[in-house]
Amino acid sequence: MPKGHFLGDFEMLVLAALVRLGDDAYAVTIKHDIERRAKRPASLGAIHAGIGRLSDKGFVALRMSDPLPVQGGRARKYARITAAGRRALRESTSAVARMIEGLELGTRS
Amino acid sequence: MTNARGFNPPRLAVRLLSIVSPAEDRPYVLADFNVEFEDRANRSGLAAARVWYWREALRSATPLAARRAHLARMRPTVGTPGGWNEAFGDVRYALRLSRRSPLAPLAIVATMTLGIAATAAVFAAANGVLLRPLPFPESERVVRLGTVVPNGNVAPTVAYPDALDYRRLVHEFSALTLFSRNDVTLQHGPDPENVRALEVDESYGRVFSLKPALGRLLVASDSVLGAQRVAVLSYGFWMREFGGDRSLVGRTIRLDDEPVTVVGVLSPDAYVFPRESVDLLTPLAVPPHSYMKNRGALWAGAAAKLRPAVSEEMAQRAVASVGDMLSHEYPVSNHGLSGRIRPLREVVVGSVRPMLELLAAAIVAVLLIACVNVANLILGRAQARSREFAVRSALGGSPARVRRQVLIEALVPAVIGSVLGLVLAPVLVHLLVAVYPDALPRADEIGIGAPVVLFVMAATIAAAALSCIPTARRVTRFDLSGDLRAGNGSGMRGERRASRVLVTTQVAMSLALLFSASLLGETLWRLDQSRPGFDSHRTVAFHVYVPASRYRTVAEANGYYDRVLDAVRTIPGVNVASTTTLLPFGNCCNFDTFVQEDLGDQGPKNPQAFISVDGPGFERALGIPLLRGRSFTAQDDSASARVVMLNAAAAKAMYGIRDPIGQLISWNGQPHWRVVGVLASTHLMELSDEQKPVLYVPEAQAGRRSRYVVVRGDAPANDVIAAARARLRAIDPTIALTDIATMDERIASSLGAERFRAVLMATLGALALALAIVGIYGVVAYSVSRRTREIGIRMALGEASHEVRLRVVTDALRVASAGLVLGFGLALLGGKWLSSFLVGVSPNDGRLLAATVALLVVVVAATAYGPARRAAKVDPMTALRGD
Repeated sequence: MPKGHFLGDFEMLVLAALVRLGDDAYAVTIKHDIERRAKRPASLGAIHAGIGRLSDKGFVALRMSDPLPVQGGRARKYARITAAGRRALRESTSAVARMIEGLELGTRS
Repeated sequence: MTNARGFNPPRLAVRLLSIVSPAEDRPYVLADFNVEFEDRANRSGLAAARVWYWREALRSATPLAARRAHLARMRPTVGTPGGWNEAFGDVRYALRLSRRSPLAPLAIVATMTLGIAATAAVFAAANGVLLRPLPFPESERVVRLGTVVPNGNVAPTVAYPDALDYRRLVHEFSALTLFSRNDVTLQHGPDPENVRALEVDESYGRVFSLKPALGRLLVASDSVLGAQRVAVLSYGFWMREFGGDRSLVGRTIRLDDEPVTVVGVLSPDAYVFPRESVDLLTPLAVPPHSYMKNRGALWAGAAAKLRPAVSEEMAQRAVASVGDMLSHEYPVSNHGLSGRIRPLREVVVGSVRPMLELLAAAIVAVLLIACVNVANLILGRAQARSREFAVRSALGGSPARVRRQVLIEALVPAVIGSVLGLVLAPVLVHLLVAVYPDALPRADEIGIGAPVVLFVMAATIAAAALSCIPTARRVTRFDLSGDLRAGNGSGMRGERRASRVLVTTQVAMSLALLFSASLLGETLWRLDQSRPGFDSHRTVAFHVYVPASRYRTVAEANGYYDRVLDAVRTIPGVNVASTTTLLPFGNCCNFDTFVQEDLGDQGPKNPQAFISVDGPGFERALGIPLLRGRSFTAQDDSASARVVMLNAAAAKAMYGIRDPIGQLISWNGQPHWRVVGVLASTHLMELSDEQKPVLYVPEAQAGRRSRYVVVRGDAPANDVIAAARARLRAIDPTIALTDIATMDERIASSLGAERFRAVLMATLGALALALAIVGIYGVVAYSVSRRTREIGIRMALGEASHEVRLRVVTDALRVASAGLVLGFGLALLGGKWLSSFLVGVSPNDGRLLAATVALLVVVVAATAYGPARRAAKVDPMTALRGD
């Protein structure tokens, strides 16, 4: 794998959230998903910066919405995981999985 | 930004987000924040939503800014031509910025002004007094020759025959001169005038490189007994007294009522030792059968010029070997005596090195404190503008470029401050000289010259560079993440470390300086309080000299003094009046050897003492307690049995625990002087001196022409002096009073050096403390302002305002405690350094150390209290709403 295609753990979390969220993935929903599941604080700024970075690498495709047709509706930047992104996520997570296979890490969640 | 429900997110947080976000992401970031904000406002209320917004914005700032910086780097930067144009641009920018927010630059200018002015003034004083050679050619080769007396002290005088032997035998000397002060009375105007005269031999002009402005200097034939009496006038005296009359040379003036021919006038820049302002030089003539020819009679001042390439050590070895030889050859008079040379500059300005080191250390400490203050101000400014720097970086400004701007912004006020400091420095020097004329032996030579300006320039550049280091270092490590978190209420680690360093340094330096000052102050106080051994209050003394030209015999001179004393005693308010030749804190020193008749002539082991020739009642006039026996009376005259008194130190040295009363001694070539009384020991020259042995002799049995008249009484000193002057003029208008001062004044002026040191240290210590207060106040105020939100939240959560105050003050004290610990060490070090200056106080005096520490604790707490009070007045809602 060429250099730069390793994912940071935060990037892994973001990509995983994108897989789960499908078409409804934008910063707010990604943040909630990561905080709920990974129990990790994720600031909106970090997520924006993260999907920007991921899109630079071609793992994420961005789509800017028009303002929503509801009162107070605003522009959103939706993110969708690309095929390369899925591959990178798979490779990074399985690398982690292989590394920790059979390790006793204790039971604390 | 207003949304449908009318909820406003915190404006400043919105602005922060706008600044840090990459332009292309900005609307989306803000929109997403608003979605969550509204949601939370609906669920948990507006206040909680605002708190959330702030926290989220602050947490987002770092990644967003990093992203923005990354994107900026990806873009091609616009090339800018570097060099001087840019630097000038930075200067212009710095000045423009100063106009906009003048407080910090003004503080920097003020700090630098004070620091540089104090430094320049002290350096000027040190340079003028201590560093520069004495102002005459080859002065560095001139030494004073003194005599080591058996107790190890060095008398500043030599015996005449010894001096002739040194001159003959010490080949390291190219010239050796003898001199003796001898004031004379000039009859020129309507009133007799006391004239400061110095009797000198023919070598004097060579040793001190004197040149005549008119006529000639003294020559050997002038000193021959019976030669025509001549004098050489000082330039100042010639101008003052004779209006610079060139025809004066070759004419006669009347000195001590005798005609004296003026043979020359010294050049205006002549340096005359040992008295800075001598009016005239007369030839030193030693009568053939005078006590002045005794070995062991240490009356002559001596100075010698070393041959070129002869070191002080070589000359000292030669002098010591001649001294040893003399003490073997003349054991009776010279046992235990030896010669000691000392560079003239050291004689004039005292021991140079420790004082210089003390000054240097104190200056460095003060300058360091000033630098730390300036560094903090610059850092604070840079931090307040960290977003500006972040933007500049984001827009492609290189770290070096930003760093240079920081440096220039520091240099501009520093240079302005140092120029102002240089302007202020002469004022300070003037003040220093005006307040302590006696403390500075070469005060007239102090000035702001090229060395001082060079020194100040170096100090300024060093100070500015030093002050920039913390900021420059931070700018170098400019990852935007750190500095864009600037709004973070918890404070940045780097910032906290910087202010800790600041407070620590300042507290430590202040502690060390103040402790040193307190040690010197305590020394001064102790000496001031220590009893000189006599009651110095309500006593006036003045010197009177009776010339042999008018009062040919000793009896005539005694008669004159009797009339003077009778007249002085009629002054209203005068209780006692008498005369003495050894005035404590007045003149020095007639030192002689004598024989204890109970032990017989012990040769080299014969006792030695200062000789004081006194009138009846002198001990009551001086307030010296009579311990045993009786004092002199009017009946102790030339016709009656010879009597002497001892002081306690002499009695103890000579007789131990035996009763000295009734013992006999031989002195002055005469046997059977009977000890009739013992006086308490007194200090003679300095309060820090040990008490030396003194032999008191009645004046009627050993007359002297030169005496101090001592007057004790309840009338104000000035009235006594005026009345005495009038009465003496009535008795003989040709005789003048000189060296007029109260005994209290004499003691006080003997403490000049101690006072100078104490005042200098106290001034620098106070300056350090003032700068430290400014610095600590700045740090605390700044940190409080950065923590406004935190404090607001705490108060919203129910913390009382006194708790807030307490927290701020204890935080400040906690930070200061490191400085106290460090300062404690420094203070002990400083005390050790000062130990040679200390009298009656230990260099690690626990009481003073505790007091200094307590003072600093109080000062830090008081300084922190101001910002603490303001912090406690924070309205939680305001704090949460905005910065």
